[in-house]
Amino acid sequence: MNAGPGDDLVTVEDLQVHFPIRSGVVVARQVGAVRAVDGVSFTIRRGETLGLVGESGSGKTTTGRALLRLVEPTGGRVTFDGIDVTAASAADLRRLRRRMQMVFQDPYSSLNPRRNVGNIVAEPLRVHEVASGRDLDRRVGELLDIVGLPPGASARYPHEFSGGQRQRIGLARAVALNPDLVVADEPVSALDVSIQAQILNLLRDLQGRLGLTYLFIAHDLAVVRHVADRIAVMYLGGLVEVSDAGELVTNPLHPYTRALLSAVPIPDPAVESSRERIILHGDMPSPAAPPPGCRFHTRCPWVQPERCADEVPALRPLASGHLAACHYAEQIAAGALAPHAAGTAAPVGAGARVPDRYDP
Amino acid sequence: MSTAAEWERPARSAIDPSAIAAGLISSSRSTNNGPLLQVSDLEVRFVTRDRTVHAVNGVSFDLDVGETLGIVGESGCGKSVTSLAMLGLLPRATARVPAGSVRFDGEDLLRLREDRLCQIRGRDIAMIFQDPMTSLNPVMSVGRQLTETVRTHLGYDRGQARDAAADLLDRVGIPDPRRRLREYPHQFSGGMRQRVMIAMAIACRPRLLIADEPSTALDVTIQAQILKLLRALVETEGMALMLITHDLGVVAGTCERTAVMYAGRIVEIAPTAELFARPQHPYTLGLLRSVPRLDSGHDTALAPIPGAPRDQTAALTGCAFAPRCTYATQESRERLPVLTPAPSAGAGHQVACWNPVPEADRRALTRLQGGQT
Repeated sequence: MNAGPGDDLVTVEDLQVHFPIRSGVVVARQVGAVRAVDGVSFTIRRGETLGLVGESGSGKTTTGRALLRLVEPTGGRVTFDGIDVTAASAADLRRLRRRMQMVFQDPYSSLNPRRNVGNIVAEPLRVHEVASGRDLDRRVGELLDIVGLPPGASARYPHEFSGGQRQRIGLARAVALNPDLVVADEPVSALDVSIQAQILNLLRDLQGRLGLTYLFIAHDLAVVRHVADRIAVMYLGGLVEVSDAGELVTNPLHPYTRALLSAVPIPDPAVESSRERIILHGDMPSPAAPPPGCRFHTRCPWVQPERCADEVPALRPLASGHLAACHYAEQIAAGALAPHAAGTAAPVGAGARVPDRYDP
Repeated sequence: MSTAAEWERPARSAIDPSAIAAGLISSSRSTNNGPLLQVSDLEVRFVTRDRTVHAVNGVSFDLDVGETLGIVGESGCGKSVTSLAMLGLLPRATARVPAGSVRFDGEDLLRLREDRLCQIRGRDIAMIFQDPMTSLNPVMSVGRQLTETVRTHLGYDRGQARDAAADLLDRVGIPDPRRRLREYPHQFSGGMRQRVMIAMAIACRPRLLIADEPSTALDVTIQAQILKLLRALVETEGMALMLITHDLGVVAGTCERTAVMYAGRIVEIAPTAELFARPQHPYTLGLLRSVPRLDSGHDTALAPIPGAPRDQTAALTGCAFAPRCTYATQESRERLPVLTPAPSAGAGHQVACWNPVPEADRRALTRLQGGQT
């Protein structure tokens, strides 16, 4: 990392969130754990957008929630502007939450249908006692204005708005307290593309005007590429690669990132017909029984007989600001290792004989 | 450890030669000389006590044997309703089809008796949906559901049906098919369930497969698997594919022709490469400009389409897109544009617009994409 510690707003060290699996009728006994987040470390610099991408079940949402302690981490540490969030008392946490806010995926279920928009946006201001009376009304008016809603919206109810407008309401609520950090969890994935672009532009606009730092969580790499300065890629509870956004897309070092990038459809038939595709077989293993060694080795096209299955790869720097967790990243980047399977892979018609669940 | 990935270059080359040798390529059963499917002026309304929604407003298109057609549009544009109307699957209580015809192999599906339609659905035309969990019966084993199709339509006995079902699962890339037949849908992952749906759909070697957002509920790496499977099946089975999606990237890599729908109408239809290279309708251009591309730079600003789609409770007078369109004229607001061959475009390119996008603005799009096209 080339930034000094003073530049980091959030530092996450070895974060773990394990959900217990219980069994038994009278006395529930813990029989295992879903390792939703399993040893994740990264930093978010002040004023940047860090994109966190991964597929469903990779633990990206849980990571975002653990950052704000909306779920309790079972291990590790989160530091926000020098304050240990994981050790904060309830009162400290309440003060901290003024400075860290969240925007949710579903604009339909994250707004209270019985309260009007003015009330929804004013709630954080009222709860944290930063404004009241006429001052409160004025502040709500300002907030609606900066997210592009008409002043008349204040007296109306969420059901009167479209998905895109509801997401604007959610954003107005999130920035009401002038937070430092906004965790945006799939903020545009429920929206149609023409509306999605409006919200992405608004997010960027707000960042410039209010000096926000974003943790932008999404499954859509094209969207993340568009908004993020840096991107962290998650797979099965762990980070596999962290890098500047442009560098990640042009020079991915982890095999999973390569496969993920090659699977993203590009709206251009000329590119689509000529690009190289790495098609992974099978599905992500269950986080309740992650494979030993590298979590990705069961699906990795470059898997090697040594180390991959028994030694957990560390997330290590491979170039300036570019980290990847792969034992063989250098060899793969240099072309010294060939991916398995050109020509020998089981074709579609013959059925792929690869277990789709990892069974120890 | 067997191989975990497979390399494909270029995208459409993945036909398994052994599948061809095994005789999986079905011969065409077509009896007429026209297109396999011909949809003309299809209209659909949803009528409730207090309002009428004009969901589909005169949709026409053709589909040839073995052709792939993509239908793209945003939520509510009528793309799914069109396909449901074609097969008579709309809810009877509220849906009305006041006009139009759907000729499949010479027969108008909208005017067929229910028993004849039942013969065609599932045998000649199959459909797969977005959510494989709600389309599969959770209390019936996968094998029962698969054998039901072939026993109903092809009259196989139990043993033949079981063999056929195992073969189908194998063809869609499900490992260990004989064991998997005894399992239930909840024991399958999302991608595997969609493979089961595809296996059911191709069980009777349909001539037309309608896939309604087949990969939308799936993760991107699984989506790539499913799209690849569909591409391979189109080639090996020789069936036509109608792919309904909101994702321009999916049609770009899968379909030969693409139709763009807005407010219940096809506003533009063209060979896919032509559509993306020379979009004529301002809405198509708007869509292309609002999608972030993985291969474009970080600083390219997205150009969203202002406003939101219109409320479809009133009949159209002018162009439905006019209120959001920067090219709209008085004529656009008053007279309904119909699909006509685009003046400055290639063969098979039709657009419904009084004032198509000028060449200079299309070039601006190409610049926006970093000169990729």
